[in-house]
Amino acid sequence: MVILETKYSLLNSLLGKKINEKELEETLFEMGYELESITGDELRVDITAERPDLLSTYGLARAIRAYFGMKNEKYKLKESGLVVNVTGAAKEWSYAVACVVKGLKFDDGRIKEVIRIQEKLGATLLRNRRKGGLGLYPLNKIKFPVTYTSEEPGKIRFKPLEGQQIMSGSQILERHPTGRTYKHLIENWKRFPLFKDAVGQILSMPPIINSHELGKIDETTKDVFVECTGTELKTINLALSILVGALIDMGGEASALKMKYGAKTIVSPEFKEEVQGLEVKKVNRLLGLELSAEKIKKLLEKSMYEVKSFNKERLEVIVPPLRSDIWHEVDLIDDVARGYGFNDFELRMKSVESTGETTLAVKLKEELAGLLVGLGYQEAFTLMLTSKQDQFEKMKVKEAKHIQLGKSVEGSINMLRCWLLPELMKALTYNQSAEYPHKLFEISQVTLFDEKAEVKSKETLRLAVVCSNASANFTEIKQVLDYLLSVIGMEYTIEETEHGSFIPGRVGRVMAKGRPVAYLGEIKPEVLAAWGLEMPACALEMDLAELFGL
Amino acid sequence: MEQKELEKTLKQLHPLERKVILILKSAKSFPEAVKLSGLQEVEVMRALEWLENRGAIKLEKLQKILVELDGNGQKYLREGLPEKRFLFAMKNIEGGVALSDIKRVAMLTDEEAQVSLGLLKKKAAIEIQTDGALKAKLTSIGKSLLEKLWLEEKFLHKNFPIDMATIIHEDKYAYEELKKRKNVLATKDVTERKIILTDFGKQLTEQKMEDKDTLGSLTPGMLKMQAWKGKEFRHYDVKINVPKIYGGRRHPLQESINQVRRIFLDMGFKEMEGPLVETAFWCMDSMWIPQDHPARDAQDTFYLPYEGRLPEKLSKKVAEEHEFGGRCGSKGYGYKWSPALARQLLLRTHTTATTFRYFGEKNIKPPAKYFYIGRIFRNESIDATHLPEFHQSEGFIMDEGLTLRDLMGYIKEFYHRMGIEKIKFKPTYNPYTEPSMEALGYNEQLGKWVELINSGIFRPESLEPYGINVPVIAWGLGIERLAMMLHQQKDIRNMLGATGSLNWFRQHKSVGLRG
Repeated sequence: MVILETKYSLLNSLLGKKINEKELEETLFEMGYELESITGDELRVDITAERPDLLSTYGLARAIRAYFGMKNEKYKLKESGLVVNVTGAAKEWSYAVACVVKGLKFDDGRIKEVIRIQEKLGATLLRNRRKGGLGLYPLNKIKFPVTYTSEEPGKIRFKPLEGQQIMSGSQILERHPTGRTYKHLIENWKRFPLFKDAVGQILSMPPIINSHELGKIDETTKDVFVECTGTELKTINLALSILVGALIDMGGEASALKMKYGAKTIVSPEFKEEVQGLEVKKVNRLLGLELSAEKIKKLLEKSMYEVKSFNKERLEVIVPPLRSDIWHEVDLIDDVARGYGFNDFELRMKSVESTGETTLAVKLKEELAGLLVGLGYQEAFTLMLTSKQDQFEKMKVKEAKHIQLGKSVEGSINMLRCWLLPELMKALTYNQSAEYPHKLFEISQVTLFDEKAEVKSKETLRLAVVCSNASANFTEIKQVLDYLLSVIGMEYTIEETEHGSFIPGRVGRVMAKGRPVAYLGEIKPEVLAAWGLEMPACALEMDLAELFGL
Repeated sequence: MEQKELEKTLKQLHPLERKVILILKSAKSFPEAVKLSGLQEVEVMRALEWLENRGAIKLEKLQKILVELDGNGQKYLREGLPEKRFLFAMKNIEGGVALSDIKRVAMLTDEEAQVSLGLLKKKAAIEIQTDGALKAKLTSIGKSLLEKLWLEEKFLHKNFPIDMATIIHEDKYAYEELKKRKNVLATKDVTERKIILTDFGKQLTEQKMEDKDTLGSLTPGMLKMQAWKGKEFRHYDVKINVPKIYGGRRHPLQESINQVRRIFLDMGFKEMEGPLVETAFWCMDSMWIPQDHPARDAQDTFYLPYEGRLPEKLSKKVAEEHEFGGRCGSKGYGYKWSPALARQLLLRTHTTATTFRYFGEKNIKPPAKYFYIGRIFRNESIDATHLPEFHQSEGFIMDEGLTLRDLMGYIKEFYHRMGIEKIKFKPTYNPYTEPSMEALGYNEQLGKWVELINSGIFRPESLEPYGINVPVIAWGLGIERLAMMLHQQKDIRNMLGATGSLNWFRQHKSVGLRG
């Protein structure tokens, strides 16, 4: 979800009528977007990520107009005859597209709108400038042909936008606020991207910053040079086209440029209109409707498509140039459904034969949980994400091989739990003010490291039980074990053993089917102290997967 | 009060109550009641609470300051005030007496001697002579003081503890004087219970309180001996408050999970299970999420410092879908698919990872209905509305002839089984479904639309690698969100995690779903 922030009055004027709040909300909802808020003239609309063209108020207005059945003018592009040479570009940032737009009447509001579009596209479609960056320049200061090239950071010298003095490329990354923000993008590159004009003046150092002298537009600017550079042609052409589209809708006259990549020349920007075929049968099969080709044509037009031709079986559809989310017929069918109105469909439930069935693990969990609840135990539900400190240190056991996290935003976690009991101890810690006894259990997965496994890990279903009160002892927890295993009908024996978390001489290892399946005993005072507990506790942890061969 | 009511109450009175109410004619406070009844404090307290429940008495809390003798106070009570002893040591001696002699005779400590000296000088009871050794001489006032019982002394002989409020007039002077001195008097704040007989209580005390031979608890012994025959059981106050008990219960979140599970099972779905630690392949690539999708950013996803293995044949097919759209009539994303990115291990970000494992590994044939409820992870910090892990539920139906209308119909039925009848649909965008839609339900209790379900029809690009060529409709919902709504719980840390409140788990309301 991306928020378009704009002016209610601007949208109304572009729609050519005042649309009231309720109607706007309902229309946007039907189209698949959301009116987040209107406060005074401030309008906020939630846009889904596949539609960067709606991140400009002009683009959104076109979409709403079409939805209302109003006509939109096609984007017109002239030839400027101007040339941009792409030569010696940085290998990490090798593509550039550009355009000139003349006759603009900028005011404060329009400049802000242009900056907003530039920023929103930068953050979304261009992935925080990792895929590309946009720039605008007053045309009258630039001498053509312009060159898109690169230079060693130390040799670059110009005054960056809103900067106080001339700096080198490296200095900009260290000292200029915008330079510092985007430093991580290019700091390891040998050469930094540069736009220069015919007399060698630096226009900008993409994707970081424009020149203060040549790259600042204001209310006196009439004609602009617009460029987009980046890693891949398709995306930067789209970003440029969306911005130029908005400038055209502001009243500007756009002209294409020739981008010379050595011997190859491309005309930029490209408002490309692709044709996508659509079978009537497929539309109706997916939506469960019986629409005619003609009706489908009408519905597609509500989403700005043009239908080039159609017959009973098939339509040839022209995809609008700023749409980047049309890969397949189903994408057109989705827009047919939006045009039809999702809330106008007649609901149906096709009978599909299948019988309900749960898993052995769920059945086991439910059975055991039922028994434990019957014994007065409260079910706990703890996090799988935890820390080495909780899993090993506080439990006084040696660190076992486990699944570590990479980077974690939450400071208190660094691994996936490999046993349950520590998390129940944590629950005791947080609930010391609740009346005793505290009788808790949890049945859930823990994750063990497994070098050979496809996902380097193995999950296993565990049961942990803890009882904490003034008289908690071995007998109490052994009674729970005896009860559970006798009800389930599992034969077992208990061996003397040692375990870091339990009092020596008061801990047992449970053997079943010749395998160790559980530990039980009285928790060591050192462990209780580590958890800040002043009440004795006895506990058991059983591996249900081992026990039942899950 | 009617006679009937009085008689009913009389039958219910516990032996302790009978004893206590009679002494309340004279006892007006808890300590008095204890003293007069000869019962233990807890017995009197219980009887008083019961009597209060019956409306026979009112217990009023009275804040009091009690004055007690402190260590020195008790000592002075035994041995006399040090200054009085000082004077006695000088009795009948004309002329100056050396201070050291006085100290010895009166058995005073240095400190007591010093304090006495100052006090007596102030009262003009002695004169100090400083020719050579320090000497004191009794004055005529001193002589007369020797004869009298001082106010301070009188005060020490009072019956402690004393209610501060009762210290008046000359006692007040003595109190102030003694209070200035170290460890003589101590005060403490206490809450005293005052007992007031109500009209009903007064009437009760006037009833015949003969200790009839009523029976208390019925015991096995009584049954064996048939000792109950011909006797009456004491009546209980059945409205009485009794101590709370708590049973063992399922966790509120598990209750919601089980409710959702029951809906799916009732509707004929089979349950799936799958790993939490996943390759990026199964979590993203397998369903046609592009490799540069923002959802794959490290800031949202827990990437793990390990690599997993890819299914060889399948990843080739998946690569084709990404690169050029395979053979399903799609353009594809037009980039070079990287197996290295797909091998990265992560904590799954959605349960659809498991749905696609079933497509890839379980050879599912239509007609089929499957569901899953599992844990998913987001790299977020913990606060009242965010946890780095939570639960998602997801169901899919695979069959010839399924349409968007059926998806809507099934969602309607699903909401109905959750007790929500009014729903609406909003088109949305998911990388692996088209059409995609959110289904909002109107929550009558909250009086607002809540967005609980996300859904769609899987894209041809996402299904083709698995040889699935019939429609697959699917929907999912967040369990915590549902559970928090049902349980009216605002803090997600109570819903999942060791921080959850045991008190709440014990007492939370049952919220069984309708339908």
